[in-house]
Amino acid sequence: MPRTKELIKGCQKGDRKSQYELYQQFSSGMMAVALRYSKSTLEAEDILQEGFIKVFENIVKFRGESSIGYWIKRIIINTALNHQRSKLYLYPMVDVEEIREGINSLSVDSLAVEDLMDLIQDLPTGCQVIFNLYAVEGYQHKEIAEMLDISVGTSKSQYARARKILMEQLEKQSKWGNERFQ
Amino acid sequence: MKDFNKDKFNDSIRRKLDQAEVQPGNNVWEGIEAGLLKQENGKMQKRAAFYRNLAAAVIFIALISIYFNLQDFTFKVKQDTTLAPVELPESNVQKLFISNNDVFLAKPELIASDKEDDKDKSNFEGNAFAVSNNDNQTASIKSSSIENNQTIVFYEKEIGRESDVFISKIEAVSPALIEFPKLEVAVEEVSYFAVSSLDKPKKKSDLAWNTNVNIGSGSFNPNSEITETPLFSTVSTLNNPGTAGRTTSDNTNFNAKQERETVENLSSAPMQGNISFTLGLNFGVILNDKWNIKSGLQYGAYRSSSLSSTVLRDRNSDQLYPYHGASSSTEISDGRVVNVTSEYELYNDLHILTIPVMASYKVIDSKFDISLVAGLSGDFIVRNTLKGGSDQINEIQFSQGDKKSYKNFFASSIAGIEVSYPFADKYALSIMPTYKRALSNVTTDDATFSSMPAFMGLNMSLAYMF
Repeated sequence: MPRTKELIKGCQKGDRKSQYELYQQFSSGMMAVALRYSKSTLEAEDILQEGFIKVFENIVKFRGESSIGYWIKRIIINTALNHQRSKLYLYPMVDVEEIREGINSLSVDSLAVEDLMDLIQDLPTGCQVIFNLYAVEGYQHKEIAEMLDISVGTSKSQYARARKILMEQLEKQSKWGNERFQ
Repeated sequence: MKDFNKDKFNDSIRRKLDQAEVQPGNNVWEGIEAGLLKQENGKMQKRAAFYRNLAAAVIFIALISIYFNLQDFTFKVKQDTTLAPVELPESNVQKLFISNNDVFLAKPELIASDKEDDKDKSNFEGNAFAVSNNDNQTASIKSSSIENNQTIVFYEKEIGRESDVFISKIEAVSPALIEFPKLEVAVEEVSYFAVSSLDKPKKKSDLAWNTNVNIGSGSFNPNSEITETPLFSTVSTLNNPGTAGRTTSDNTNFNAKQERETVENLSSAPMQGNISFTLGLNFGVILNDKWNIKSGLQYGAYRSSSLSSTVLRDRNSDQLYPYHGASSSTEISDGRVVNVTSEYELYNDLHILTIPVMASYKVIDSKFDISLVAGLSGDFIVRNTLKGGSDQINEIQFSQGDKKSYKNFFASSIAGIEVSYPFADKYALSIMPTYKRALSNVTTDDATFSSMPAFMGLNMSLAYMF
């Protein structure tokens, strides 16, 4: 931790070496976050790059009220959201009907992280963002609605849609695994 | 991240993803480093540009002030001109030193012409006058046979003697009493900068000049104060997402009122004026203590924006362009259709060159002067660009000759209050809130609306008075 504090101070002074070390320390974790909000590795790297530039630009404002890891993660997520917002959806987001919860409680424990990432990346963009914000980051639908300027109903329905798609995919993978096993 | 929802499925996903780490490519750090360098360079360039512009402004004002100073000058008489005494008979010579405090009194009635000695002196010609010193000695000075080596000889009337006088400086001469001979003195040096120390008597009708550089900021929305808008414009060429779309030429037999209203609503979100920037140079003529008339050039970059939910799609290239029902309807042509999209920011940038003519009337003349300003301006739209806040949307730039929504020229009226603070005799800093309003419609016949927009601004200027 003391080393991280030194790095932060160095970054606040604009020291390139400190910036590089801080980047090395957090880049892998943040890349995983960026991947969850993007459709490809290339796009995730763009988000990561843009996000870290913002981190170094604004690190003078970091007062240590939260951990530096959490602070960087917030910036990466915001960058990812802006990235998604700048994309134009020719097909506006529409509400899907509420999907009944608890089709089954498929466990994802047996699934590799990379496979789970792939499944999340394959979700439609709107669903993907809302699923990440609700299921992974822990935001409530009201907060998500305010962040994305959509209705609470849309947030709920998009989440439900994402969850349904994921479960279907997990089910398929599970069946495929069982068949292979047999 | 306030309240994690309690759900086994979500929990297991979150657990899994929290541990996730993926090594990014090496090029990411290179990109970050390049981005940081670019930012640093940008900051340095901005700083350098600020100092460069400041230096240019100072040099410009200095050059103008020097130029106008050169228009007026005074002569400086050679300082080491010597006074050579005229030889007089020794008995009659008395040296009388006249100091700066001595005062010339009056032209004497009697000059030494009645003396025989004087008749011999061929250089005793011209006028004569009296002089008094601090010792109450009065003498009359005669002769002004002054040539290059000047000689002043006086005749002391009271004691009937002539004396040499060494005059270091002559002042307080009463022109009614004394006629000085014409001096033929070589001009050795011309002082250009002595003008400001001279108190030139000013007549009330004298004109004075001034110039000022100004910067300003404000808000201008070309789509404000809309005076006329068609109920159903011909731009209603909605194609629902996923359908082929219709072009303008299709709508002759097109009667889908509901569809048309939808696109009208989506594409006609109100425009809002954003912060704008102006830079200008004015020259003025000060008619009298109260009135000042000025004119010049102002360049302004004005941005207005709107949230739009429609784009123009080129069916051939599949390129997207920003679309706002009011300001880009002229861009619809065969092959281009209006598509409904998710919401995006649309920017309408106008670059306007303005030639104002303003009159100001000073109502308060104190440490801070306050003037009422009113005038007219001719405004030339030199560039109009429509941009979308998305990488997927191309910008549309209208040139002078293009078919477009705004006219190339319109006239406006201006009103404002100028508060200025004069300093260092010739300079004044001023701040002026202004309101400007177009006097006529600023849109072309092709546009789907008419408007007479208003502009609110705040100008700061540095003036130099000649």
